Amino acid sequence: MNLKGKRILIIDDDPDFVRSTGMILKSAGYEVLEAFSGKEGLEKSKAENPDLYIIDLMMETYSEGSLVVDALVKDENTRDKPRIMITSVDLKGPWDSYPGDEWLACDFLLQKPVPPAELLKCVEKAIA
Amino acid sequence: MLLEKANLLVIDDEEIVRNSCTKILTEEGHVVRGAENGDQGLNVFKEFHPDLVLIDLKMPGKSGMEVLEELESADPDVVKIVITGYATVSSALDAMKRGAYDFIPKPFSPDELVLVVTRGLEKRRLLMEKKALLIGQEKIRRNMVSLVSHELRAPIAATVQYLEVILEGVAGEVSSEAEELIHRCDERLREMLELINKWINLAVFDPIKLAEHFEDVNLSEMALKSMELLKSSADKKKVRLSLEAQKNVPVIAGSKICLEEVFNNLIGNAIKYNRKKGRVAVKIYEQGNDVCFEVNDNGIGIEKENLPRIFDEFYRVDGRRTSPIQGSGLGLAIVKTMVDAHGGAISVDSRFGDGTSFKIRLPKVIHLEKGS
Ligand SMILES: Nc1ncnc2c1ncn2[C@@H]1O[C@H](COP(=O)(O)OP(=O)(O)OP(=O)(O)O)[C@@H](O)[C@H]1O
Ligand SMILES: [Mg+2]
Repeated sequence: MNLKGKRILIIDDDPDFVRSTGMILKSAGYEVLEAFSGKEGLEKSKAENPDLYIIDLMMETYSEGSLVVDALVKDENTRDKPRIMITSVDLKGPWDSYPGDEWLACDFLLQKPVPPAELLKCVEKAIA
Repeated sequence: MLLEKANLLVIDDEEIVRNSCTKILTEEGHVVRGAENGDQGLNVFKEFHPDLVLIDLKMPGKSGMEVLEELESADPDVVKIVITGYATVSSALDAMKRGAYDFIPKPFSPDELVLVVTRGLEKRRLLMEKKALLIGQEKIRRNMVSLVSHELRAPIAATVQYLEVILEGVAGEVSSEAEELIHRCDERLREMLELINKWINLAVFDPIKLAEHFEDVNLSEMALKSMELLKSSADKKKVRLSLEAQKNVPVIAGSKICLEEVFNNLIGNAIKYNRKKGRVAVKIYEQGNDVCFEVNDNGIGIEKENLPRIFDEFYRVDGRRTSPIQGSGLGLAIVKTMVDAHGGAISVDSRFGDGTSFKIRLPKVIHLEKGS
């Protein structure tokens, strides 16, 4: 399957992260769409119908990211689209279990900073 | 904002009721699906993800009350409203005890339906907000410390991500000296992230909460896993790792994540503070009411006067031999906290220049008094 040209929507309120993540994805041949809030993300999603979502968990509010996921799951046009959740919350701590991937209804849950190679691997797996 | 357009499910055997509900509520801007019996309703529920379900109490086949109960146990945050025949208040009350949020007696007018549904969706919004708040906050804002940790981590994470993009050559060619410097920046920042994590985790650690999630743990498995993880750093120093586990050692009650931390720290130290071609021997055995494990090394050892302080936060034995070795001084403080949380004990024995031996005992069954 040809992954080049697949369109990925990054939803994150940290413009530096959007930029660096976008550079990684573009270097691998993906087309990148950007949104800087949950609301903008959902609007872009509707207008652009991307192939994959990369969503930050904590934006303006603590769980804006998971509200975006809820909205995507509820809409039958986006329900089956792969999603990757990214956060700079320390996922391993404080030693009591953090809600797992399945709980967040995402294909992958990654911790920032994500090494470029790992990000690309997850994107590939999620899209395939 | 996210609920102006809600997903609604109507479970009713009467086609006319389903159709009129669909018409009225679709006009309100919602997405409506109907189901003509309980089983069908439960199936639609699974893939449609409704915000609110209207359930007719009187249906052939699975009764409305059963459907209500199954939906309630599947997802208590979905609002359920029962449709009752000829205003039987007692069954409506019964339904509300079983998780229904409201009821609407048949026959009803469009306005009555819209009113009940609007009220239900308001409830749904509150439930969702509460859930979102719990999700986001539980970990993060339960403690101011954790929030600060996120704020501390975010800029470092953003910077590291840029550095790695540069290292990948995505932003253009990098000279080999620049590459080396950027590598150092990257490493130093990652160490800082580690330090923040460790310190925060120690600061917000709650042994009572941890004990609620205790499970059966096989210490030999944990030791093997940790040795596998640390094998490459042992290989680098040509340090030999060995495990001697008594057969059929009983499981203990504990937290795998925490004990992993204990093993990784102790075995990690035994490798780190070892000499080239040194040895690390892990032993696991039963002793009275405890399961014990030892991590023995023949590394640099610790001077007697420094031994009492090694479990202190941020304490590192200074001196030329240890200074080139990286570390935060939090490792053993974490180990001690974890062992205490399991009702166990840790002791250390060391001869300077000869080697160090840590011994941990963990009770086979733990009685942790709540609130203590
Ligand atoms: N097996 C050992 N042999 C010799 N010295 C040790 C050993 N384990 C610990 N120490 C000494 O005890 C100090 C405290 O250890 P601790 O694990 O708490 O911190 P660290 O290893 O310096 O940092 P961190 O584990 O957080 O990366 C170390 O700095 C080291 O001097
Ligand atoms: Mg250590």
